[in-house]
Amino acid sequence: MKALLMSGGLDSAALAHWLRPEVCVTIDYGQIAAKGEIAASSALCTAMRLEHRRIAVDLSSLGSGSMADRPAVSGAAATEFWPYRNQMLVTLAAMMLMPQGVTEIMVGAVSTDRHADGKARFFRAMDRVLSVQEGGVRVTAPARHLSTPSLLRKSAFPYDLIGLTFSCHVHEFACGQCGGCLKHRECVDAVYSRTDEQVI
Amino acid sequence: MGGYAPDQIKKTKGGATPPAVVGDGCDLAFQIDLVAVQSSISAGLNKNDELVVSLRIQGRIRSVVCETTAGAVVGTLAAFRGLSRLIGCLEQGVGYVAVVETASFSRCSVKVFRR
Repeated sequence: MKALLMSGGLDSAALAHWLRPEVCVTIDYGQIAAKGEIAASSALCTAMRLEHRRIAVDLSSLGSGSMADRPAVSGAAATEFWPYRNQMLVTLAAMMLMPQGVTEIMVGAVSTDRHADGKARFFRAMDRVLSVQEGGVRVTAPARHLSTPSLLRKSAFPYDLIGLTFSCHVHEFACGQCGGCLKHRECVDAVYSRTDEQVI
Repeated sequence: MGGYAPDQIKKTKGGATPPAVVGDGCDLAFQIDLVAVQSSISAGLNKNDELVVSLRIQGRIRSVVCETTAGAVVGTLAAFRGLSRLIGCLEQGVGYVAVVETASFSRCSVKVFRR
């Protein structure tokens, strides 16, 4: 069984459409935007006829940066940096899915990710850490060499599903102003010939 | 977790034109697809249904949502260059209506006008 960590953003939505994992997992770890991520992921999985599961573990007291509504830690590459976030997400998903026979956990990292836990060296290390343990679960980042626009094109992700995606870091409802929302807009504009947003 | 900053945003193809500005700056009128559509609500909408445009505040962050008269959020007005002006006008008490052009479980296109 292959699983995909799904936030409901463009990257994980496109990966789900492209690779069609047996299960998509969304984790509420206490991030500000958790409700929006869960609603988007659930709707996307329904639309793509994929199984969707949720994990809820409140780690908000351990978070930092804009996703936790706190100052970013020193050395953060961006305001949304949450220390050890991907390591935590992979571990929580593996804890739930290893007993059920998961063989691979996919992460929606792309080439423009700036944090260390979105880079090749991190994924090699996490793959090694999990694969030496019971279950031999592998960790992969299939889109690590692609930008988000390239991933959207490669996955043939349809514009009709773009409206369901959610990339906000700081609000249950997309704010349109944070780094996640701005990236969302930029990437959608780059890939699709939009007919919306016309001045009347 | 890409860490995009606002100054990295560049105009690309597609409708990136800011809304028209006349009078007090709040006579905004534009057509746009909603972001983060709530599929169960959007699926029940019809052309020409009217939605209320309102602010939802979470901590220090304001989002502009379109909601039904019953208070169910359909989606957000997030992906356009006049957003900060719209937020400012809403905070001044200016009212807007969003008229549904097309709606489905995954997409909702609206025309937004000042009341």
